[in-house]
Amino acid sequence: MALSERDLVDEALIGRVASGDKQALEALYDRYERLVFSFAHRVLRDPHLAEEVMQDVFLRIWQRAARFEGGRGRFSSWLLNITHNLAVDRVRQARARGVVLPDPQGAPAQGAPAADIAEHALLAYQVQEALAGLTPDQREAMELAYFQGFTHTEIARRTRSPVGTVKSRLYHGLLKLRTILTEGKEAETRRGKH
Amino acid sequence: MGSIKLFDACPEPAELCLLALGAEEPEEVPALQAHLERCARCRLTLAELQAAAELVAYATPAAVPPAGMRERVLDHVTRRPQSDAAPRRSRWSGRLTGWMPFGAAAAVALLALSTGVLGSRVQSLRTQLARAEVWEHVAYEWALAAEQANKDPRVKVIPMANSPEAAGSGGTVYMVPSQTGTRVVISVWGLHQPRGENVYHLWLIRDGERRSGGTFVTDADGRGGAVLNLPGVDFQQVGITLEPDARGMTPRGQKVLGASL
Repeated sequence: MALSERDLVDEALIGRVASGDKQALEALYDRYERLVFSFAHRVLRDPHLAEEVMQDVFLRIWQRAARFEGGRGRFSSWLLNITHNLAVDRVRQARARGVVLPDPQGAPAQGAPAADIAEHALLAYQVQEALAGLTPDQREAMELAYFQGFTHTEIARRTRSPVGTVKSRLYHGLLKLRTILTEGKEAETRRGKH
Repeated sequence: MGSIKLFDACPEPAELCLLALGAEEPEEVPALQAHLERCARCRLTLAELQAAAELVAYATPAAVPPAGMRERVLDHVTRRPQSDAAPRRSRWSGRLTGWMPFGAAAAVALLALSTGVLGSRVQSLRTQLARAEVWEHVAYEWALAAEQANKDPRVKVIPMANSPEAAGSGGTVYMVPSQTGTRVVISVWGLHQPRGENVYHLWLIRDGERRSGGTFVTDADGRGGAVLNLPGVDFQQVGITLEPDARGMTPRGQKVLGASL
């Protein structure tokens, strides 16, 4: 796995957090506040709930920093995975209590992306374009699964589609996303060589 | 409730996709995880799918945090004790990066020569670990300096220029005011990993005279750096040369990077 400069710095910081370094935690917070909050807000559609998730995410980072194993993946992946799990848990809890969250605003990705850090901004726009390249069914399935926390059988019921069809939409949608982005990167690399 | 699946054989990739998106039925997750514990191929497939799913997070529209959120979150978090104090495995065992004070590299080399084959190997591992720990320190200081540069206009950020012999390399000098003077953080990239006793040597230059700022080595990715805490900035330029060893007090090797402050 090729690590970027940013990944290496993240690893150094989380190592410090594991030793109880609050300044290192603050540095990680500042590096990822916008991305994590925007992601949580996208799932929960409420800034106060998103802030609660922020507390939960960084508390988990603070308490479990020693568990992060750099050899098994990037810190940013670990952080986004924790954020997604905690945010979706909240959505499911709200749904179980009958609480209605605000409707999502249109397509999954609109407006300026949260990843405003230079090295992520280009990726963010590429992902937005790639999402636009999915079929409406694939985008809907991804939205319901990834952002609204529905299981595939729940999605099948909501969309009145067979379970196998939903699985296929999710799988092929994700593969298409990966392919579009991979081809985009390869094209960039080729352009860069000329 | 339907029948519980067992995954003695590898599950279909579409099942792993559901796990990557968080869309798997909760009762089916334990069986999938049990299979993943045993199957490296499926772990790799899942990692690739998770990487694709994470991309979606980067495209979420920017949301404005509530005022004061940073202070509330960090105050809430840091009031809690840390738990899970299991020792952290270092992934840096293969990285030969770090800043060694002048003479330390020579001391390590002499110690390695004085022992047998096994002793040399043990010393090599100790050296790698020591360098890895130094690199963690450098990378941490570099991250802090970069963050401070975003917020504090007093922080100077000076790019380094490479010499023709070090084409493709680069570096940045951060000059960060501190309570005791100035913290100078230097990060470099694209410099070939030195072999044998070769080291990169940092020079602090004033009126043409060079003073040693210490030596360092780069890792296999060409990254390295140095951190200096100085009472004041009494030099006008910095330069980095590739030296045959760490014992010289004046430059003997080729200049690779330099910057005027």
